[in-house]
Amino acid sequence: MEVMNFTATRRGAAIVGLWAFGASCLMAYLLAGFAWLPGLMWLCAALSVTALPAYLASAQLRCGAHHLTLRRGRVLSTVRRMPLRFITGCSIWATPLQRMTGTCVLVVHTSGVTTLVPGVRRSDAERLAAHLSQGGVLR
Amino acid sequence: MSGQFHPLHALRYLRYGFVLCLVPMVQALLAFDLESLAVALRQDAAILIVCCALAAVLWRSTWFSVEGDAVCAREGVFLLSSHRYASKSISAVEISRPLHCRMLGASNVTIYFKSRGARRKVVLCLPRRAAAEAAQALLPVRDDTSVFAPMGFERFALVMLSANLLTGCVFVYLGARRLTEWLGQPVRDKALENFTRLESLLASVLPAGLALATAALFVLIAAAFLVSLLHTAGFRVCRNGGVIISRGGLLTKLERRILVSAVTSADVRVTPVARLLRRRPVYVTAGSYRGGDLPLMVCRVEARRAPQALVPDYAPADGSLCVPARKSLPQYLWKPGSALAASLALCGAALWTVPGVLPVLYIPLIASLACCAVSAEGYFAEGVRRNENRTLSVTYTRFFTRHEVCVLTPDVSYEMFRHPVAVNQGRCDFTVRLPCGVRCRARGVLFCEADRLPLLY
Repeated sequence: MEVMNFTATRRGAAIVGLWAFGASCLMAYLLAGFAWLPGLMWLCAALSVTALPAYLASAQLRCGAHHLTLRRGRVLSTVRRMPLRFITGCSIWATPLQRMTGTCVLVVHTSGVTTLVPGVRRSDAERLAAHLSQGGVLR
Repeated sequence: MSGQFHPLHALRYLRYGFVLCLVPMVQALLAFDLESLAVALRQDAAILIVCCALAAVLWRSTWFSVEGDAVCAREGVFLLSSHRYASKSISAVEISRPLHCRMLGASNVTIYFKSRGARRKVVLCLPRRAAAEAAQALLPVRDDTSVFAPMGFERFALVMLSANLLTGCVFVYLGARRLTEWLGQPVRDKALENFTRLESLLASVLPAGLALATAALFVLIAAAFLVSLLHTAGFRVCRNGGVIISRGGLLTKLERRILVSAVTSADVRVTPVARLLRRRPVYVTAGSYRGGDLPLMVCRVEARRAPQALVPDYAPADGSLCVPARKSLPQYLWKPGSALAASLALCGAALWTVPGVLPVLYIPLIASLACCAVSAEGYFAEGVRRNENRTLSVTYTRFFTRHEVCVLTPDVSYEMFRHPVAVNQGRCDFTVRLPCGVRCRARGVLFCEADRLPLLY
């Protein structure tokens, strides 16, 4: 039985980490003067360039015959399984920087949950989206 | 049947007008003189007139028709939006008729879908007959034979399990009588004395106005509970032609139609009141429909298969769903235990400094104790298992309630979360996500079993 395996790239994960870093810095600037809140935001900024990219880069997608499995995280690990026939949509987001590096954010929609997989190779994401649009049947 | 929406539909456009009216009033409040108030009132009147005119135009552009097994609706003037809601995509229909709608002959029809897309539900305000026809077209029912029509003690149990205000009042009354016997003086005076102290404490701790807002919030919550009490009047549930119908309500007449084949889960909630009454309320979710505020039926503790009268595929969780020896007790007890420790610390501090406040502090102490007991029970009961009839049983606890959920749909996703200690001991937190967005999280499930658990087909 043929399966598809994908992993997130370090470059893609680092770009998403940069977004979080920028947002945290902005919040720290806006919340300056609110007691301990700027400190918390700086902590978030530090985690955005250290722990977050490592966490996102550990994502592994496995598309089997009946379900899609996402494994993520080394210290705090999460496994999510979704039945292929109930995946209602699959979208690909890419910013200019991500297009330059050939990565994207893959969004998988089911009835109950929306799953974001940042840092996936664009070619892999397109292949998976095409596969899912054919009802999960490998061609 | 076709026509325009009920004129009450236009009211939903007016609410934006009311929000706009706040702007001149805020300006008048800042200026704080009579002249500004007069100007603001004139501006508000102008805004409301314009909004009324716009709402009338928008209402004129609405249109609906009931065609076979579908309902078509059209709205908008410049941006025209047409929708066709076919019965094959619908899991539940709810017709609510609040008092003001009944006086004006309108009904609110809420349509829930089997799979949750961009919109979870759609609300249409239709004339009464059109609403009934639309419901009949979408989820047809020929005759209704009652499956659950509570009378006598069953009715009492349903009211107690549905309306928290009444339950609270009965328990407070009984508790007050017992306290009066113990204290030898009326509890009312004691309670008033403590309430005044609590009020002054809130006023000193919270910023000005927030204490008043807190009091207003409590009044609103009490009013909401009273409304839920009125919903249970004349309540009965029927099943016919693959559709579950529940009807009831005193001021707000409520009719819910749920497609049996679209039922995604049946949730038996073991609340503290349910334990006392030895009854179990059963809630049902179907597609994007989350079950509402009323249980579909209330069954005895012994009658574990009673929900099968409504949902034939329902299977209760038989036997143990977990291996408690492999679980972590601190994982279950750290939250209620922390609350209990904080309550005890508060009681200890109050005992030395302000003993008068002590009776008030017993409330969080008792609540956290009860929460600890329920969590300890969860240590032995929480788990997940696949049943013989290909359904999934998930038992989990949240606050004071134990949920015994039977998942009937294959449209779910599983999630397993592990931290390093859990990895070392081979367990995980297992979460099932239902199409309506409800999450059922069982803690301390063996990872090898959870990872092998097949998705329902």
